[in-house]
Amino acid sequence: MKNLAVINSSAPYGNSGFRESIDLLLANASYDRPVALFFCGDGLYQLVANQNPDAINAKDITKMLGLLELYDIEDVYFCQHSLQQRNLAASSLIIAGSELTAEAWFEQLSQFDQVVNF
Amino acid sequence: MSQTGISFNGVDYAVDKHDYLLNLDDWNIELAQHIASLEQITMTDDHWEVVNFIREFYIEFNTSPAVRMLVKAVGKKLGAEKGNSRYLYSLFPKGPAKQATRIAGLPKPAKCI
Amino acid sequence: MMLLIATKSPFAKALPLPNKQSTLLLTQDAVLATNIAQLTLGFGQVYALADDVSARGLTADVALHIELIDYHKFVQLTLKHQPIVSW
Repeated sequence: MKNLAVINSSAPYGNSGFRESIDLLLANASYDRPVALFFCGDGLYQLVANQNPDAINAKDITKMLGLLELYDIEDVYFCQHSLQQRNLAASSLIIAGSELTAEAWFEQLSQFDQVVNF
Repeated sequence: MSQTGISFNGVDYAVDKHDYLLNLDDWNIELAQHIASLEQITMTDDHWEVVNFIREFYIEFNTSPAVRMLVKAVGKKLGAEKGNSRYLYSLFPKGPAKQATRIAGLPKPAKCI
Repeated sequence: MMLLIATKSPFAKALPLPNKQSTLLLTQDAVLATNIAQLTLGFGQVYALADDVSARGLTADVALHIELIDYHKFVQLTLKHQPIVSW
């Protein structure tokens, strides 16, 4: 079966991309398709702790990330350079993942048959 | 589905366009039983187990599970003999995710059969 | 080799970080990056869709390492690369 990588490269709340990306990921995982989740650029802001989407009448999508465990999705990759640019630490994000240099992050991504970027 | 509303004990409850409760906090056991009767379901312990599970699921993950997700989650929590669509359809013949979320007072799952 | 197809202005959305594993193709508003060489140095190769560059009046200023291509070459690139990633 072809494997699938889902990238989040956009900041939260501007559109519904994050929700759609998680729906896509879980729908594919539920058919036992190998999947992985990649974060880079402003997409890393999706994972900042203590977000308060209620304040702007937005839905809290981060709660859905608890479903990754239910689906045994463990392959999560962060771009180290993007983290440093944004003064974010991988350890303070709400899910665990591997921190990769930009080269390694793209190398990992290139292993996938299909890639969808949100 | 045309909207007919949910009235119970003289109260008209706010519902969405699919006739699902709008407010999570309006829900209670008697109302759940009433919604079940609208779905032509008589609640048993097995029904309650799924309905309570699905409510906890929603509160934890902020999403109503569609049927495949429900099957998977029930299997993980309640065991493989319950985590299959045959069992869940035997309890909720018109679609376990669709009917159980309505009885549980949750929004209809997106793109749900 | 991976093909990254950028469509948005580099000032609206950051381009992918340069990496030798990837070919970068600039289309639509992403061609606004063509006259700023340092934005796209470090990729395996960089292409830009000539019509999108021309439409925006930037053809004369395209950085030396960027090759301008037509739609036919665009299709060829998509056939030669795997995976294809929209950016």
